[in-house]
Amino acid sequence: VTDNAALLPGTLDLLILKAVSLGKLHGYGVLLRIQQITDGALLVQQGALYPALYRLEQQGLIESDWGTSDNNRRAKFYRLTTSGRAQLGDEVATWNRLAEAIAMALRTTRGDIR
Amino acid sequence: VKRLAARARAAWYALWRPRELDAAMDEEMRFHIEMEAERLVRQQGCDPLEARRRASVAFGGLEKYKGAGRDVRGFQWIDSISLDARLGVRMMVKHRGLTLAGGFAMAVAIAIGAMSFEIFSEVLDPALPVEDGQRVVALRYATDTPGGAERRVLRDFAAWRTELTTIEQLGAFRTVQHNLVTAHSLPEPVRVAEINASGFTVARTPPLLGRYLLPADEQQNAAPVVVLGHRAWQSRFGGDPRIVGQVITLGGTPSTIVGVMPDGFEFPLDHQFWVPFREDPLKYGPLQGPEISMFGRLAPGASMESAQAELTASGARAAADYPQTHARLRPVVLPFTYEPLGVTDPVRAWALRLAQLFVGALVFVVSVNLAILVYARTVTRLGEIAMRTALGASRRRILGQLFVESFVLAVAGAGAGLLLTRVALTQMQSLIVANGSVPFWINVELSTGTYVYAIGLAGLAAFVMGVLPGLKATSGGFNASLRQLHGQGGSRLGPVWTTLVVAQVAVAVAILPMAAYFAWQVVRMDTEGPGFAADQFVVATVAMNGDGAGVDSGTLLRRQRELMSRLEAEPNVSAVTFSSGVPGFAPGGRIELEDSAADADALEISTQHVALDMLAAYDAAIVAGRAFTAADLGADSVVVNRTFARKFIGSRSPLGMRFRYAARRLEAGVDARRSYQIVGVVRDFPGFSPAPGSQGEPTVYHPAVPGDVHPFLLAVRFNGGIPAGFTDRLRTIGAEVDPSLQLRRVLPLSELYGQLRSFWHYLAWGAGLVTLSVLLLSAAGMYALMSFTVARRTREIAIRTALGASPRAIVFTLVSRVARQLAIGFAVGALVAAGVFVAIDVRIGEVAPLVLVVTSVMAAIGLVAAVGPARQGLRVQASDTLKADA
Repeated sequence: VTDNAALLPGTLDLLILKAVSLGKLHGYGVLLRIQQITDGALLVQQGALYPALYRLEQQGLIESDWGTSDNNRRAKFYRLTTSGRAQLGDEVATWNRLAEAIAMALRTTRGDIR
Repeated sequence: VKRLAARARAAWYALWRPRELDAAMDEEMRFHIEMEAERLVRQQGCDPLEARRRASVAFGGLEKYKGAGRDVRGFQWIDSISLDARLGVRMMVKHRGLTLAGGFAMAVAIAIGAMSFEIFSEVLDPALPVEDGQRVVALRYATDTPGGAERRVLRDFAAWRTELTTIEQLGAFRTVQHNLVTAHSLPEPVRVAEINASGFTVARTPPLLGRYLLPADEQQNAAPVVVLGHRAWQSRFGGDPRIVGQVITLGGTPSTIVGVMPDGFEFPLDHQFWVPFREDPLKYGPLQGPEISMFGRLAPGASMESAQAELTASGARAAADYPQTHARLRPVVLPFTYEPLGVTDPVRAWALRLAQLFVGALVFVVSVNLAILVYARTVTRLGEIAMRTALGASRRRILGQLFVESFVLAVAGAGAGLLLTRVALTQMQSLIVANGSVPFWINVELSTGTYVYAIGLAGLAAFVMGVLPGLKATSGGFNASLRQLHGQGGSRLGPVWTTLVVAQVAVAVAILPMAAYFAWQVVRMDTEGPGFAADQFVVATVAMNGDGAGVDSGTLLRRQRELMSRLEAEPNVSAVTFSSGVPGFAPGGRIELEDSAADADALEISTQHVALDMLAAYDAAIVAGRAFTAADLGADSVVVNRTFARKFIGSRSPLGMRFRYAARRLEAGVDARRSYQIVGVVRDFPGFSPAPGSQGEPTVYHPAVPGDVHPFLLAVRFNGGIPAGFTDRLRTIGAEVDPSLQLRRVLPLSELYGQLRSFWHYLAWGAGLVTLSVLLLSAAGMYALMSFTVARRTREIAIRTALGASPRAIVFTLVSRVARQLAIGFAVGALVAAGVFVAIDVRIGEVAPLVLVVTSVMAAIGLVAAVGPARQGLRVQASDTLKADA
């Protein structure tokens, strides 16, 4: 996959929150879910996922417990907390506003500013 | 709230279970890699080993992400502090000289600071350790004399009891000594509080057994009763649970024990026996009757200010009614705990607080001195600091590191200092207990507050000696530090450095001779002996009931004669004699020589009234004139000691000279209208000085016979050692002569001297330690500054050698530069020292050798410190230093 885009700084947390909001997941599952919902378009440094997960857990946005994976292995599962859900909502709104503004700026042609 | 709880839980785990968290993190990341490897095998048909390798590569550095995971926990600062602390310990081991001198000085300074903090806190704590103790107050009538009080205030007390509304449960007490006689033990004088029943209600402490005193007990015809303290109950009555109802004899009066107070209750001061206060105020006029102390409790809603306002108004009325007696008096209310300790007005309390601050500042002085040393060390590490800055460490991080390093040293010093404080305070507490009569709420043990104070001082010291030099060293910015890394900063030590060197030398030369002089004087005092066989004497202060005027001299004469003749008949007794006080510790007086034209001022002396044979009994040889004879009794003859003759009369013979007592307040037994004639001169005894630097105490001896002096110091001398059990024997004989005769402090004279002089003993230790720490610190400071100054010039030496300069000339130039700095420092310091010595009235001739010795030692240290690095510099090849620049 050569045409992967690098992640913009600060977007990994948002992606993790989104992935976890779709269902309880272990760390590797989060990676697969991000690849799935972005259609593999974004390059996530796999190891970097974990400090981000711990940070979100420390902030009380996600919580975890140990359980059993599909292949019967012990794994740590993460799910969104109530405050995580609220935070995700805020961040999605902010992101959308930003993306729209940037898209609008990039769509602008010379004719538009005359 | 939930988010906060989650953070708190995470912090808790991070702090206390870091290993578990690490293990979980490891398991989770390995699970990830294995899952990825399985996917590669499953989807891309990879060989399992190759799949695992690729999965690991895709994951990135496992350890790196584990580290990042740990950082998220928010406790990486603990790691960095522990790292810095370990580095600090290593620096302490590496720079042993600095550690030894600095740690020792810090320990002594913190010990002094902590000790004074503990004592001042005890003295300044206004709360009595009883329920609502801060509302218990003392009332006093202050006089014009600062700190003075009029205590014959029974009439005023009676008036205030009915009149005051802001103070309730007003009561009075006085302390008397009575002989306690029980069925099982020898009579022994004890301190008894004659106190109003309200003393117990004001303290709000219920009795342990029986009851406490009641107002009914104060009636003149009520049966005599006594309440015991817990300590007395345990030590004298074996904690007998059926003690209530038993009868003991106190001062000849059989009294029924009605109750026992609980442990720790010694109100008002340090009392273990309480009897009702039965004086009738109506019997006395204004300012007549016994001396009393007053206490009470602020009424609900009343404050110190409102109570003082009411008392002031009452005082104004009294002054108008009795201008003769009350015009000069000012009623004062103050916290109860302040009265017995002399903190009798706000100015004194503030003075004590200021003193506390000043003693605390001692640590600051030591830290500044250490800061100079540490600065030298920090400057040598500028290269390291530059390297760390280049690797991304912030200035804050570097300063933090320097702080932690210094804090390690300061904490080590504080630990040693607290240990020292503990030892000293334990000694002090046992001294207090041994000497008695210290208020019960004074307990000089290391309190939590003092620990916190000491750690605070250590923090302050670490800041001064770590951060301040760090700020200076890092202020040049990155490039300057980098130049340092290449050894090109040699010329940066400018005027600031020279000033530091000069100041260091000046302070050492100014302080050391003084410290050494004082320490020497005190140590000399401590090691001096009494000059006679004090260990052959047993002494006791003998008194009869009713101290002072109430004693019948006829009875005293008979009892004293009988007691002395009984003692003379004891085996091995070689002499029995008496005097008005302990030799060497007599009360003072002032005299005027009659035929001395020169001295118009009154002369300070000590006065002793002694038995005719007293001087002989103490082996005090007569050096001029004669000893007392029976003919001297009632005549004007006195004997003076050698110091008297030397100090006041000089080379002339004192024999036949006359003097009068000058002071308004005279010692008992002397008469201001009479003129006394010197008939003999005796050698000084005891031989030790009364105060540091003193050349002896001028003393006048008056002849006396039994019955003249009350209370008196009885001295029994033995041939050889004191027989075992003699002190008890003395008590028994005393009780047989008269059960109400009080024998206070019966003990060998050598032991009494030890107790009386223990203050100097501890002071000698303290002064010695302080001097040693100043010496060490100064020597280390001098050595560090000098060797550092020269070491900075190594490159210059090498290059000049390469350019053909003679090594001797180079060393000479360097050393003469150092010598110039030393000389300026010496001159300034010696001037200050001389000024102070003149100010405290010490002859310069006496201390000049001391200043000279200190100066020479410091000069030697300075030159040795300079020569070593200079020689090293000569050995360095210019090419090497130039290579280092490349």
